[in-house]
Amino acid sequence: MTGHQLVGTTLRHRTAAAVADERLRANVARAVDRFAGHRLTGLAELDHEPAAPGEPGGADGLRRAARAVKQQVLADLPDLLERFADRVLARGGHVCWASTAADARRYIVDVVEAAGATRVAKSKSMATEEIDLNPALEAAGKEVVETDLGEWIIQLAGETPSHIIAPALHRDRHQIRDLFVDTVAAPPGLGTEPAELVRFARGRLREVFLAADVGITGANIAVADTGSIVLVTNEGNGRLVTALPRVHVAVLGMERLAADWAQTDLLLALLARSATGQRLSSYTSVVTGARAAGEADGPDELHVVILDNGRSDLLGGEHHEMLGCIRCGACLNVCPVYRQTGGHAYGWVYPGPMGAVLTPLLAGKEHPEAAEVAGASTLCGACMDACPVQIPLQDLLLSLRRARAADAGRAERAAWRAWAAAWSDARRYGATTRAATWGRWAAGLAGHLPAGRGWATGRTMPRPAAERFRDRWRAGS
Amino acid sequence: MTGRETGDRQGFLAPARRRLAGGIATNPVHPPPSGPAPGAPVPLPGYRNLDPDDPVATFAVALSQVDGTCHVVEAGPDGALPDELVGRLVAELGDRSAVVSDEPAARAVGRQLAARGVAVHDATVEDAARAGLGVTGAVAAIAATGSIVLDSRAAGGRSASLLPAVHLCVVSVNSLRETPADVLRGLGSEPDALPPSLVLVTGPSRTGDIEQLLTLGAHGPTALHVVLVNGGQ
Amino acid sequence: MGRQGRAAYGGAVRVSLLITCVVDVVAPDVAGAAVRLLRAGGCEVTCNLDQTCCGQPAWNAGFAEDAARVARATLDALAADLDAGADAVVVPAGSCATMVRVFWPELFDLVGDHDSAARARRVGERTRELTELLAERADHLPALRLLRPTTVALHASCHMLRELHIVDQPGALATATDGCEVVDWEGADRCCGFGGTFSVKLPEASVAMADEKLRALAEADPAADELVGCDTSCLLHLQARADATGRPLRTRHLAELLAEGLPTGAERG
Repeated sequence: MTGHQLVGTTLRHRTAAAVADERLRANVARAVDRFAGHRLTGLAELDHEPAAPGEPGGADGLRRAARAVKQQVLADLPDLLERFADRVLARGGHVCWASTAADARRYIVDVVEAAGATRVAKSKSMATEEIDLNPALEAAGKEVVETDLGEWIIQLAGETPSHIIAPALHRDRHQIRDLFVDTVAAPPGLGTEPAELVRFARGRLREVFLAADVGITGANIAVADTGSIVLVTNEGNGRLVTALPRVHVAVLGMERLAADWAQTDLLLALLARSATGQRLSSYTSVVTGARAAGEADGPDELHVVILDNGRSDLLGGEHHEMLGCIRCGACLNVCPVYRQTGGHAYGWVYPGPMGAVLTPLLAGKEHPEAAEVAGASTLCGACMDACPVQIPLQDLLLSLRRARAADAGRAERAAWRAWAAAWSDARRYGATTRAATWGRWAAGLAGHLPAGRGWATGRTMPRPAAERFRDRWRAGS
Repeated sequence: MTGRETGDRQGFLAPARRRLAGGIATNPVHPPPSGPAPGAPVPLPGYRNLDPDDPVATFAVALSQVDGTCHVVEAGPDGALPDELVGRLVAELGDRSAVVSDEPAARAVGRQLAARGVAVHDATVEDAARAGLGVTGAVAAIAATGSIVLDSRAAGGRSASLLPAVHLCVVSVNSLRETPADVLRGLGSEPDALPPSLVLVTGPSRTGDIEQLLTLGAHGPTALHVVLVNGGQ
Repeated sequence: MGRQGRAAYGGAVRVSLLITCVVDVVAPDVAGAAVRLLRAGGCEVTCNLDQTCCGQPAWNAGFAEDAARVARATLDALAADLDAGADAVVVPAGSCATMVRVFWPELFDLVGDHDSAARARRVGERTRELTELLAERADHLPALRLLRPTTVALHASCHMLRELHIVDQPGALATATDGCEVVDWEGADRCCGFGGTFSVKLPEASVAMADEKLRALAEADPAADELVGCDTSCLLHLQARADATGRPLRTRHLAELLAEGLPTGAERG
C-alpha cells in the first residue's frame, strides 16, 4: 500500500519518531483538545427522554439508540444493500459491486476513461485512500487533485492523512505556507495568517473545480429507502465536485448504510457534534441520482462503488461492531496515545483507536505487520466513552491482541508461559518474588530482558521492597 | 432509464449472508442494548436550544452562531424585499453581477437588483462563477440548527448557492421547521420526490484545516444571508 | 455495561484482601495502610496467601490461557475466603478490581473454564475497590486528620473511572480528611501511559504520556504537594519517569494518605 508505512517500519519506530517531534505533538494536542471540547458542548445540547427507567437520557441515550440502529443495519445489511442498489439504479445511477480494492480501482479508472476524462477532483474520502485510488488514476494518465484543504495540503506534501477529519492537523501555518510556496508557486510574499492561506487555496482550487471532468467522493451515509448518498462536509468542495464535473463517482464502504431517514436523522444528530461539536456541518448534501432535466448543472452520470475490501469478514464475528463506525474521529480526539503520536504512527489510513482496530482487520491479510497496531493503546477506555455508536473498542483491541498472541514469537510466548507456570501457584510465586531473589536477579536481568530495557527507556527501575506484604501478614501484622 | 450494474451482486453479498447466517457474536463485557422491538420508532433527538414558542428567534440565533446573518422581514408586494436591505446588498456588491436560481422568490429579488442597475443573470455555472452574489429560495428552513434546505429541482441547479462569494436565500416563515427530523423523516415516503441534490446548508463555507482555526469561505460562499419572510405564501 | 447488583455493607464486615502483585512486591505499605483503614472502619480482614496475581498483564497482552492459569489460583483463594464467611473481597488497586469484577468471567469463558467463570461472577459481585468500600463504610470510619496540611492532586486510574465508574469516592475521602486539600488539574482523568506491557513495548509513547501528566501536574494552581491515586502501577510509572528526569515528585497511594490520618489506635477499635 503506497504512501503508508506499515511495511519497513515498526509501530515502535513510528511512535518513537512521532513523540520525538515536539512540533507535531504540540499541533496534535492543540487540535484534539479543541475538537474534544467542542464535542462535549455539542452533545450537551441534545435531549432525549429515556424509554425505560435506568436507561440514560440526553446524548448518552441517543448514543445507545444509535448503537442499536447500527446493530439492526448490520443484521440486515445484505437486504439493505440490495434495496439501496435497486433504488440507485431506478434513479438512473450506476452501481459497481467491488469485492476488492482492485475491483474498485479498475471500475473507477474505466469510468474515467469511458468519459474521455483526464482531470479528476476529489472530495475527502478515507475509503479512496484505503484502496490506493490516486496512484491508480495517475498511472492511467489522469490528473488527480484533492480539493479538501487538508487533503490538498498532504497531497502536496506527499503525506498521508494524520486524522480522519482534519488530515493535515500535524502541520502548522508556517509549514503550510512554506509548502504552498515550495510546491504550487505561491507568491513568496504569502503570509501565514490562516485567512490568507485559505484565500490562496480557494483561488487555486476553484480553477480545479471548474476544469474537472470527474468528481470523486466518499459517502458518509447511504440511505437504503431512497438510494441516496449523504455527504457531510464544511468547505463546499463536496458540493462543488458533485455539481460541476459531468461524472460523479461515490465510493461507499458497504457497511455505511442506514435503512431509512429516521435512522439517518439520528446518526446525523450525533455525527457532526461528535466530530467537531457542530450541530450540522456547513453542508449536509443528499445526492439521489444524476442531474434532472431542467437543472443547469450537476453530473450527467452518477456511479456508486460499493466496497467490501475485507469488511464482510467482520460480519457476525468478534469484530462485528467495528462496522458500526461512522468515521467521526471522536475517539482520536480523546485518545491519550494519539495525542502524543498523531496519525502517521499508526502506519496506515485509519489512525487512533478506530485505526488500531481497523488496520489489523483490513490491512492484516496483505500485511502481517498490521497486527501489532492493536498494541497502540493502553486500554484506557476513553474512546468508548466518546464513540457516538458505543463501539466496544477496548474489547475489540483485546480480541485482536489475542489473535496476534497466537502468532507471537517463541520468546514472547515462552516468557508468558513461564510466568504463568510460576505464578499459578502461591509457592512458586513466593519463590520468584522473594526480595533476595529479586535483588540478585533484578539488577542483572532487567538490563537484558526486552521488558527491562523497555522500562529503562526514560525511567528508573522500581526497587522491590525489603519485605513483601505477605511476609508481614504471615508475621502477624 | 435504469442505471447499469457492474460486478456480481450475489457473489458480492454471499460472504455477508454466510457470515450473518451463523449468528452475530455479542461482546460479553460491553454488550449492545437489546434494541428496540422491530418496528419500534427510532428516538427523536431533542434540541435544548429550540424554543418551540419562538422558532424564528431560535433560527436567528442558531444561524448567527454559524456566522450567517438572519433578516426577518414582512412580505412586500410581489415578493419584494425591503429597500434598505436590497440597498445594502447592492452597495456591497459593487460592480459585480448577481445570479438567481429558478425560484419565484429569487427571481423577485433579481428584479429588484436589476432595477438598481445590477447585472442579473440566470444561474449557469459560467455566470455564477463570475458573480459576486447568488440568490436562491429554499424549500425549508430548520430552527434548531439555523439551516436552510436547498432543492436542485426547485432551484434549477446548484451554482447560485455555491459559486458566488455571497449567498442570499429567501424563505417563507411558513417553511420554517423545528428540527432536522421534521425535514428528513419525511424524505423516505416518496423516494422519487427527492431531487438529485438536496442540501442542508448551515452557515457559510468554512474550514479549520489550518491549526483548527475557523476561516469562512473555503470553497463555497464566504457569507450567507437568510431572509425569513413573514406573511405572503 | 455489566453493572452487578451490590448490597451495601453496614455493621461488622469480614473482608478478604486481594493484595495485588505489584503492591505485594514493590509497595507493601499500600496494603498495610489498606488493612489499617479497613480495621478502623470496623472490618475484620483476612488474607488468603494462596493468591498470586489477577492475571491482568497477560490478559491485556492477549495471552488469555496464561492469564487464566494465574487468575485461577487467585480466584480459588478469594472464593475460599468468601465460602469461609468473608462478606467481600477488597482490592487496593482499581485495575485489579476491574480485572476481577469485569474481565474474569470473560477470561474464564474464553478458555473454556465455565465453572471458574461462574465462580468468578459470584466473586466479582462481592468485590470492591478499596475506596469504594471505604466510602460505603464512611459512617464507620473515624474522622481522619493529617499530621501536616497537604495539597494533593488526584490521578484517576482509567479502569476504575471508566469500567467501575468509581468517580467521586477517592476525592470525597480525601476532601473529608482534615488537613487535606484536593486541587484541580488539567488532564487528571487522562491515562498516565502505563498500560501494562504498553509501557515496555512502546516505551517512548509511554514516557511521552507520563511527561504530559507531569507537565500538567507542574502547572496545577494551587500547586500540589503530592500526586495521589488508587493504582500503584500508575504511580510507580509516573514516579519512575519523574526520578529519571530529576523532577521532584512525591507520589502516594490514597490509602497511605488516608491511613496517615487515622487516630493512633483506631485500627484496633
